[in-house]
Amino acid sequence: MARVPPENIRNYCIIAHIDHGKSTLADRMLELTGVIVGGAGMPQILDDMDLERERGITIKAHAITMDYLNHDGGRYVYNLIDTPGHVDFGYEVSRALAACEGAILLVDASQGVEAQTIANLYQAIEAGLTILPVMNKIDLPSAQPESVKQQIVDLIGCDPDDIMSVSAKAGTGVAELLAAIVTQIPAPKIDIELPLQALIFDSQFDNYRGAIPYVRVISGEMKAGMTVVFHSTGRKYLVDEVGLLSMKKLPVDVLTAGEVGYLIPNCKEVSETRVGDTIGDALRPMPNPLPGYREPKPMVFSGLFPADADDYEQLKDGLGRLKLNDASLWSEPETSTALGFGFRCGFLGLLHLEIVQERLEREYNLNLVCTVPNVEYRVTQTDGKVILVDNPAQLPHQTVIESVEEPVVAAQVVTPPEYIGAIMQLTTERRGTYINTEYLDPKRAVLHYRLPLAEIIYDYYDKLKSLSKGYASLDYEYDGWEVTKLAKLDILLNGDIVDALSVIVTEDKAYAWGRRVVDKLAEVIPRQMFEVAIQAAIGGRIIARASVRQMRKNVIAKCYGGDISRKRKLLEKQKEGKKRMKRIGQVDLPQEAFLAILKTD
Amino acid sequence: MTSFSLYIHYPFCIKRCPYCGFATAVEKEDLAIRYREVLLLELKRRAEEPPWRGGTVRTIYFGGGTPSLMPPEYVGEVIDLVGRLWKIEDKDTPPLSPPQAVGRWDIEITLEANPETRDIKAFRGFREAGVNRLSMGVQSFDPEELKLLGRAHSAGGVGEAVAIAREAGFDNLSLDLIYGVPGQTVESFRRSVEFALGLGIEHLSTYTLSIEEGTPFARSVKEKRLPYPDPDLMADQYDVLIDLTRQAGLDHYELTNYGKPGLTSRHNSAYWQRTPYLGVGCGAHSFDGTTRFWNRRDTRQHISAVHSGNDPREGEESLTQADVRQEELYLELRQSRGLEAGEVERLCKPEVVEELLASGFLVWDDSRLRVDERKWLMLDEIVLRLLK
Repeated sequence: MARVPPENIRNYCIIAHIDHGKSTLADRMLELTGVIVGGAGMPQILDDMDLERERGITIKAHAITMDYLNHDGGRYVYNLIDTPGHVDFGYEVSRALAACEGAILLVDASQGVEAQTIANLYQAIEAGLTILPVMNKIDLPSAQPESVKQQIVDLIGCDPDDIMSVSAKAGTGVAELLAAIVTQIPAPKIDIELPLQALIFDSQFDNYRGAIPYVRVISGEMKAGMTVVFHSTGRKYLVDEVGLLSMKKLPVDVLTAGEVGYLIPNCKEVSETRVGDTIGDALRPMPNPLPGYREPKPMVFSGLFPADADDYEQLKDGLGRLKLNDASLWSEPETSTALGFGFRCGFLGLLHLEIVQERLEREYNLNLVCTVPNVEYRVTQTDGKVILVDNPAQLPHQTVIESVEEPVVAAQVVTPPEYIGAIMQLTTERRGTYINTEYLDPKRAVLHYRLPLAEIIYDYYDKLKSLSKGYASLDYEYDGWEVTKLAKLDILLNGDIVDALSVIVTEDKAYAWGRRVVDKLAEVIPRQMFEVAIQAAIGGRIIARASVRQMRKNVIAKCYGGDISRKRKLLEKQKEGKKRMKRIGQVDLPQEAFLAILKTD
Repeated sequence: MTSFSLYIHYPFCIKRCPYCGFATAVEKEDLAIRYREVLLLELKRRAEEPPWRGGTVRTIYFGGGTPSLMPPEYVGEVIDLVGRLWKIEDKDTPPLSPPQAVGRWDIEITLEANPETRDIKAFRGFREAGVNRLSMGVQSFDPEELKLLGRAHSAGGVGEAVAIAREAGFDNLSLDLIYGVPGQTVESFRRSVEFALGLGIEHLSTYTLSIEEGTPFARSVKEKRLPYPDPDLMADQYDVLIDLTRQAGLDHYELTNYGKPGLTSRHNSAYWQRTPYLGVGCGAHSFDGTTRFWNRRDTRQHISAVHSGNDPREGEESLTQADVRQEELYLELRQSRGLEAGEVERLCKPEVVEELLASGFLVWDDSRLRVDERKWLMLDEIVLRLLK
């Protein structure tokens, strides 16, 4: 890999909505610059987790360095920094943007501009990035290049002729785009005389080498053997190695201002190498860090319990390992009367939760029960004490509560105008406060709302998608606390409260909630040896009830000419099925029961 | 190996029943002839192998498929061969039934038969060949249900078949009935049971319809042309079954089987009592006391394996201690005799025993623990909870 002077470095990212072709475009760029050998059926390089490929989204930030030989013979180094593609990871996106000078705004020529695109674009503009607008999928029959061009023009005020057209899939226009990066995206502005400042935009974990932060060097230089200091913690580390992020990590002697690479700081925990933190020279520390750092802040909480109590240690181990690589995942031991020993975990959002759950189940072969996710509440007690409650079971008794505040977000929904009515109705139902509506063009409106986070973490996004036939998109950011009247809704099975099923809901919706949850539970709890009585209660008062009838037959009666093995296997299968359920008292509760509360309709 | 039961599988049928998941094949004469040759070969070969070598045969069971499609002379040839290859548990056991005018041995020799014209003609021949027990696959006496089940006989035909079997000298007859059939009601099933019992049979086997993968029924259920068998209906039908068989004086000695006192199926009891059995023929299962093994299901593959001197076994499993415990519990509780106290302690979680006794699923009877007859259809659930 060639080293070039800073004026020949281009650091950029791609801003795009899910499915607008970001990963495919990245793959084409890597092929054309010879980083990978292309061909049909090549996996998407940047999404290297199975889960990322399956879900078609990027979960972690990634970076890759490419050599680019310009037509005039100039050698360039391109650093493509891929940003996470989901609303849960807004902060991670902002840090990745801060590592770049330019952004390719990639818009699907048939889908047009979507909320996430806008949100990330605004962040990029705010971060001072140069925007290079590109339309993708121009070869699709459903492409509407003219109208989408107009949307882009309206959005960033560019000249329509400046918008490039590509088909990442077919490779059309990608070479031209690579050439345009040289001329359109500025080289990093650097001051080599200043002491070292490097921005951590991602962090990986290696079993042998510990935490490996990915950095953009803003000023100065970083070498193996020097001692660096991490601003947020004040901790110092001796740098073992620095290097470039090619397909493999490529050690080099020094990383200088403008460059993107990694360092190995002999650090055991990724929680010490936080995204957004500033790395300085321990001998010449800069007084102020780079702007924009935020402590990792979980927004959504859920209890994770092993379905089989014997798997507790394995869950502990698995969570510990995931945390090594994910500084935004928070956990602490929790004990539930119904579910036994487990962990209270904090996540950036529901997707983050699902991903963690799925990875634990797949990679650590666990059956998990996740309790209903909730936000964190700020409770002011009558004695004046203020506490944060992230678990419904810990909500103090009504009599000692002065007030409860819940987190709210500023949300923007981008939608074709025909769905505005339905979306407004949905958002009002979800306690949204309407702010205003903007029009990007006659076919695209942005609705601004202030909305409790608790309403979003349930099924708001799914609902939004379904009532707009998939057209509407959502983005939000944290916007403070608001006082709310809340109630704790308990669920009783055969007369006993199941603490893990308790939820905090708004007082005025508690009855409807109770009814729906009880009905849904009656649907998902399978018939069993004994009748199951399901009740919902608020403060000890039963507000809804239902029951699951007793099961009357469960036997494999036929004896297949002495085929006892088959019987045993069928029994084993049933046993496996039972393992996925949680025995509470005499009731076998399937995992769906916990989700039932989430997806009541 | 002191003694074992012998199962002989004959896979051929005139046509396949739409619910059947057994190893069966539609009869083709040349294939059937080769298969019958190969059966004799397989018997001879097993007789030379441990642990079967030098053993004593205590029951013989011809199952299928439709073994009543075999020529009676051939059945006689098989029985003769068995008598030459092994000792027969003849002299030491009391006769199962009064001594016969025809028939050589008193060990139970069962043959599954369809109550159809072609089959019943051969009944006398089977009896002369040494078969002393017939198990007839009646399934139902209701014309609509028989049609759905793809069975070719009629209710009247069954009466005729029983009469002919009696004439031929069979004094030990068993009928199979099936319940949980779509369209069947509690009442129509009651009529079938009454009809069967009215024929004065010695033994009744009853099965709930299960939807077996790969059968036309499974396809119909998947395409929603057929409802999934209703467990509540089956539970109601089962209650009727218990009442009627008790009135008829049959002993409900095993979950799915009812017999006149002393006339239980000795062969099938080997499966439940975990005594050794040897299965020959395609898809047949064997158990030598520690290991279970089974032959290839495919008829042609089986023929060519045996023919070319290869082992027709497709798989085997050595049981772990946990497997054995699960089998013991499951199989003992299928039988009305249940578990003795020491076994209960060894196999069951004591707190679950208490819980299930209190809720009436289990009962102590003569210092043995068994499943309450009315709750027997919950056996799998009970076992899954009980097992240590």
